[in-house]
Amino acid sequence: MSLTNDHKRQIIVLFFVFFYSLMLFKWWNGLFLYQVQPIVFKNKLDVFSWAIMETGLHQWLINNPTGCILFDIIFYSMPIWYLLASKNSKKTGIAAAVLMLLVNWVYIQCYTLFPTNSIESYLAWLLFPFLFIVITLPGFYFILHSLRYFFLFIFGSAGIWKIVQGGLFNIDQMSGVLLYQHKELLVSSTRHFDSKVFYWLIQNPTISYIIYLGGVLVELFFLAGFVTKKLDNWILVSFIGFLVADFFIMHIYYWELSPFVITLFYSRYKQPQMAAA
Amino acid sequence: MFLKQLYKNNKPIFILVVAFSLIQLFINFKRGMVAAPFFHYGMYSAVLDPKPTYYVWEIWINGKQLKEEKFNPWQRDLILQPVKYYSSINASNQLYHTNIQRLFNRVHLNPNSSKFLSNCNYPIFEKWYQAYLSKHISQPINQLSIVQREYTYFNGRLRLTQNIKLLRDLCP
Repeated sequence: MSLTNDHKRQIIVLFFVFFYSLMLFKWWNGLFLYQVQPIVFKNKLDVFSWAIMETGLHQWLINNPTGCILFDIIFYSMPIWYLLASKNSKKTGIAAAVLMLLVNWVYIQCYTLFPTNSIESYLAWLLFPFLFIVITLPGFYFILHSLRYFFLFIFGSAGIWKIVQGGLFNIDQMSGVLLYQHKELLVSSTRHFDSKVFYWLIQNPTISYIIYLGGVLVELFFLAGFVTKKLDNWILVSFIGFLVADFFIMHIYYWELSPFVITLFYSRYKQPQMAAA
Repeated sequence: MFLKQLYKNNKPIFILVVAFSLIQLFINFKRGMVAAPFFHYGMYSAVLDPKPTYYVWEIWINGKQLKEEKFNPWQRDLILQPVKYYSSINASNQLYHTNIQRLFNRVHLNPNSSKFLSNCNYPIFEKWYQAYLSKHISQPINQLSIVQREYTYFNGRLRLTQNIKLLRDLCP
């Protein structure tokens, strides 16, 4: 079956469901910019962040609650503007999508200059607006699949790096990782259940290494998606498993990457013909 | 094959995808520098053995150590990240001098250093952090102490040492 305009609508709606669910999660947990109240930033080795910093926007946001609220409002209202604009006409829809791309890019660059979390987790917000810029259904199909390949690359390359850089061949790797990742928890909450589990894993490097190896195998499994789409449902399940395991074992949360599952779920639909545009 | 199909049907997107892939591969081979959304996803890829010494941040409120167990991972980040960022102001400034400025100059551009450099000002940070933390932990703070303590890793446990540094001394 080919990808249809109904699928396109479903994908757009699904993306916005993810976006606003994560928005609620962020607001509830005090992760909006106005709640973070930044007063300190850190330089990064990211060329595009320098362009933003040259404008002084990040310094304007420091100690500026009104500016932060304004930023949050603009960023989180973009999908609504896009939906309204795209109902009006195709041209205004494209203009709103381009604006969303720019706003997302500026907001996320500024947000991650401050003590929040790493920019890598916001890739869906940075890249999905491309999907809304294209008008034709075949164009939509190709961008959707490009996003799918990029998502596969993120995890596949993470697995390859662990081979290239040698982490995979180090039996003490996960003990070292757990110590580095949880040192504050381990010393401040020695009797807590998590600390006991982490200490046990640290003291049993073979078992903790098996967990690390499992993670690498899951990452490498994503590479299968470059060869076939038949395993996409399994890749999707592996991704969810990876996210959950990462949360419980590493206390790392990459929920913002979850919209990429849309690309796996809809990959089964074939390329629409030009006439369907 | 996807690229062949794309080339046949949509050349602008084909060019975009190829350019995107080439930049991504370049960033991967180059290492070090990135350009969002092009990163290398090598977290915890390099060999990381348990080390003999660890430096751990401790936050003491009204004479009691703040226990991480009371918070979920993102709350912990919200509590600890500002401390880590503040303590690394000098390293961040150093990054500007050693990398950012040099790369700007290489393409004959002069960056505005005031946009990249920050100053340590502990009294202001402490005042802000006290109010910020008090809101996050829903508890009044009369006395706040932020320290980085050295721990040794021995016999499968982190063990306290007497070496301690105050945040105010790291970035006065």
